[in-house]
Amino acid sequence: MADSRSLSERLAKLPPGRHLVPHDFVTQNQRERMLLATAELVAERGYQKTTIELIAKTARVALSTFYEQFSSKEDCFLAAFDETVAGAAEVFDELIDEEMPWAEQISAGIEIFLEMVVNEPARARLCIVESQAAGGASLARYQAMLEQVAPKLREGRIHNPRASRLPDGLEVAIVGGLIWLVHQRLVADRADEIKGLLPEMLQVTLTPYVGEVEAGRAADAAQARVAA
Amino acid sequence: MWARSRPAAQPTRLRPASPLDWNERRGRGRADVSYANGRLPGRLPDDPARDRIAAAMIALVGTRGYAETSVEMVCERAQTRRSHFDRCFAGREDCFLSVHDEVTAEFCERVVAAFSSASSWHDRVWAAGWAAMRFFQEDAARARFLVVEVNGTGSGAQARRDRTLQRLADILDGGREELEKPDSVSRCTAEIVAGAIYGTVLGRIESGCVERGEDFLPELVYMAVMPYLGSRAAEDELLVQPLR
Repeated sequence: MADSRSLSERLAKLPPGRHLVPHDFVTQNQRERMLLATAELVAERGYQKTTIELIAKTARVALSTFYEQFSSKEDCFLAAFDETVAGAAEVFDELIDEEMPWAEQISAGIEIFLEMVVNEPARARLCIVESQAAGGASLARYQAMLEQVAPKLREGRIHNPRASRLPDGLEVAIVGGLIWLVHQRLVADRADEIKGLLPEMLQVTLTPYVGEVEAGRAADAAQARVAA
Repeated sequence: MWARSRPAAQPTRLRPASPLDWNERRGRGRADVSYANGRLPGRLPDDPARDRIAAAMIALVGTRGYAETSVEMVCERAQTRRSHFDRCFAGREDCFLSVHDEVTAEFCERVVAAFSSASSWHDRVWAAGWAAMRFFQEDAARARFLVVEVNGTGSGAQARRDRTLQRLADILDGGREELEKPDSVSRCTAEIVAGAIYGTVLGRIESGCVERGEDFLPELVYMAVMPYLGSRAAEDELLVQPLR
């Protein structure tokens, strides 16, 4: 899931001068370097203190190259956000078996999410922390991300015979709560605790749908996996 | 309720304090901010112009948004000179953060007072929810200033929002005492619930639904009590019809 190359390898320029590498490939490579540089810089310095000049320098591209692909820092930031969320969605689609029981899918989904946060802390920080400090468009993206996850959670309503009572916004609220918990660990530089959050996240997430006893069983199973 | 044997994770606290220590924030010499008629009652009349600046900041940010509010607009609305603004604040962000601190202090004081007024934890949650809702309903612009505009305004504002949410988590974490085995859950649960409640309130204020806050107060109480009183008991909260 995580790219095993070092950051300097991932930011490395293609060889200079004339070569037979297709133009599209070069453009794509530059774009990836700029998006990665944005994530690394924003995670390290925060959105406000990240400049276009720094992004270009870190990505080893000319300023003119930056402006060929992005209209502004915000444009680049939003592209990095979109790319990260789309990549995460692909991973979820690939790794979660839709045939599994719903609660197991949720458990797997949260576990994968936490693993992604731990393996890609810069991108996680960009999407979870900095997106909330980077202006209105970014906030709207963050909200859309929560809403993207909610339908999968909502499927759990079939397990609760009184589901019609549940609030309409429950799923978005739960996802927001889970992400805020992770947000707090990222902000406090306590990423080492993140994987250990799984059992309690699972308990809170599943309880409205399957009740606290069954949610507790799932949390205990998750606790055993975390401990192992 | 959640009688499980797994060890509780280490709690996250910004500081080991009860929710009541919100009151400490009152001792910093800042003004109460309630800006009806452009005045700030409850503050010593040492600098009425500063109070007008604070009131203007709340009104403008709460209606136009932080990004669309300039220092010039604030000064014009406050009927004060730019030089006075510069004596009071280092700039637009400093003004926003200072006034936000003051509004937060007033909000927290009211919520904590309500929370403390009831006896059981369950009733305390309802009382705190009511107090919060009334605060939002009194002034839609101030509610937006407090809850919505703190996002997207920079890392300083975000840190302030997070501190307030951690204090909400302090209140919610008291629900552990309702469990047969309080140690069966950690403070993480309260943090999740605090984040969930905040997101719900934010969405309602953003969509302009705060004036009907009573309608979604049961939802908030449902989320607050669900991990501690159980899903069935929490669902009963959704049947409560709050008085208007």
